[in-house]
Amino acid sequence: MKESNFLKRLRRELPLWVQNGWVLETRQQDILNYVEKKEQQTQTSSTSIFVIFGALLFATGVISFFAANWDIIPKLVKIFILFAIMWGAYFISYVTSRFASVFLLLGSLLFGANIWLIAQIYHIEVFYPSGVLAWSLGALLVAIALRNSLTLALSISLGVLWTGLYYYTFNFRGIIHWEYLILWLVQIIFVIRLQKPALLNLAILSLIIWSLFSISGIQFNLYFLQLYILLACTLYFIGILGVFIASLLFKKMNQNEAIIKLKTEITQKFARSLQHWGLFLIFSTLYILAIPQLIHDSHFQPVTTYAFYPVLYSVGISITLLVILINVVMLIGIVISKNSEWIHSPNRSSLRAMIYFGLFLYLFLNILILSTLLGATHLQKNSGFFSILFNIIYFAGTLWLIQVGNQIKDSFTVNLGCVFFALGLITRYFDTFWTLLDRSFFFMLGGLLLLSVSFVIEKYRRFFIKKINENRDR
Amino acid sequence: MTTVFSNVERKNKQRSMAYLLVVLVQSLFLISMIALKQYTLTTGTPIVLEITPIDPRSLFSGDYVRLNYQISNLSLDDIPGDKNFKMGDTVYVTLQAFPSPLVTSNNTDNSIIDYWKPIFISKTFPETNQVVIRGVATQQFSNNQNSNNQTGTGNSTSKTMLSVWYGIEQFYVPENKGQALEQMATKKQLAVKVKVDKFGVAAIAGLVANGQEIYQEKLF
Repeated sequence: MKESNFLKRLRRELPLWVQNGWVLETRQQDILNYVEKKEQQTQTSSTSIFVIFGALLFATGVISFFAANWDIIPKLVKIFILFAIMWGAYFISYVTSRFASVFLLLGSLLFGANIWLIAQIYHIEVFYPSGVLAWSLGALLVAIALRNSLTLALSISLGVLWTGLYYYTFNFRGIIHWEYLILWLVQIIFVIRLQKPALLNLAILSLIIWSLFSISGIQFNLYFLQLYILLACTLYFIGILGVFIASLLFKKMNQNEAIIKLKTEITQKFARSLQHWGLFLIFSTLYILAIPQLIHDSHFQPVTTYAFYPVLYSVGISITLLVILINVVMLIGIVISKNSEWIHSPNRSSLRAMIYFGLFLYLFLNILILSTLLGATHLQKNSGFFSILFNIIYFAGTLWLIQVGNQIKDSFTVNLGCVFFALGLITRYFDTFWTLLDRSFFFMLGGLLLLSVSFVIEKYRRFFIKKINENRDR
Repeated sequence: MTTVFSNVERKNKQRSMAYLLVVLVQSLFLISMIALKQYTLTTGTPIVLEITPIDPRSLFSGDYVRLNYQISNLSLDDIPGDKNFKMGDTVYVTLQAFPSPLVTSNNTDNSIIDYWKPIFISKTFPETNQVVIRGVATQQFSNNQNSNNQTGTGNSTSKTMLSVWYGIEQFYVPENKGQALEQMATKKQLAVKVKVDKFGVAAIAGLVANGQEIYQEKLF
């Protein structure tokens, strides 16, 4: 095996380091052995990559050959080829240990390809989202039976494709694809069993995409576009804030041997991911809610005719019930965690204060949103007042986020708070001053503001991150 | 030591069983796709459906064919049965054969062909001995038609139409065969032979051109 330049230099330098007393003489050979072993592994990985590429190229060539001659191949031979290739992939996965996972994924992909090719050979036209569902379930079976992460990731991705095609087929017309949740729940159980945070992120992203599709299906009337966006954001905010607070309590309960007994290692891995997603979604929707044009845009039509009012009224009632339900769930969570050690320990008083302030913001926003939803005419007439209120909650929320991040020693949370604060400031500047200032002054002032705000935010962000890292090291 | 070996053996056996299960289930699913199609072709009642070309320019493009039938768009005002459908509803259409003059390329043939046309529409499988085809409602819409009466003034009549998907709207033809078939379809010289089983499931059994069967679907 050819030695790398690094290893050669190390052999030259090590005697000097021993001479200077920086490295023990007895450890010199250990260091060289370690580096040699690492380099061997890297070279083996490089070889593996070439093997994989070689296999892919060969496979591509085989596929091209069959594709070019597909029409003249008899049906029986076609079927035999399709099954043989799929079985071959699974067989290679069975006999090899190093590439087992890759060939399992290949086998699952070939299963999907076979569904479409058999449909083509026999002119089978099914409701094509169902074909994708079958593919997803096939991959899920592989993931469950053989505890494979790659095929579980494939199954989750195909699940999103299934629900997307379903919504596309029905033109997003007021239909909620509830069946997707059944598939998702089964997938999430195995994500938790495999204990892969990356898979959890994929699963959460899938759920978010599904909920976006579902929300876009709730259409009342095109004139209510703004109200419908507001409603969508409201649903998101209420739901996801509940997830965030629950995960916060979840994590803390677990660390302090809380009343509900859960597997420590699983919840510790997943709780933080859940928190981060929840925070990102909360503040994304709060950002949208804070856009003034959403409420006082000239295209926004007030509720004046009987035809529209019952729809809004029934939706308003549904939202009210949903808000009450989520509030009840959160109160239960707070009651359960009430006896936890963390909430009563003296050094947690500032975190406790932060949590209560966050809950106050949350409840206040609930009341604000309910009042605006139930009275759409009232909303339009007082659009300035409501815009200001939403923005106050938004900026208070970002400052709250930075403080909470500091308290729970999470740099992601601090960074997120800073980003949203800066984003909100920049957007409000553009909203407000674009029509008020002369263009040149607008850009000059904007540039100066951006420089100074960035400087201040970055200074405070580094201060908080440094503080977090110091506390962590202690 | 014996325990370790027996654990390893057990794990190997479990792994083998898992692989076998995956291969078996996936293969059975693929075979069932073929089997269900073959069941319809073997046990189904043969009928001939008239094609309505939807877009002559793209009807037969490459090796992929979109077929639109007379029964794809149903007039709910003219056909007895249920009237209100929403997207995704299952639709059962009772069919009956009606003799029609056969259109051929040379226009000298005076033969008659039986085209099957809808006589009843329902949301549930009707109790009848006649052929019933099952589909999915894709759209219900109003079709405004202008008609001139004897006084010369035009009246606009609106008909409620229902678009239905039966799962037989797609057909794969060999390369370079599409254009000839396209021309026949536009001249109404092409029809589709379909088999409908007792559950209402339809499958394309062949293509009929100028009264002659030019393609027959086979298992192998």
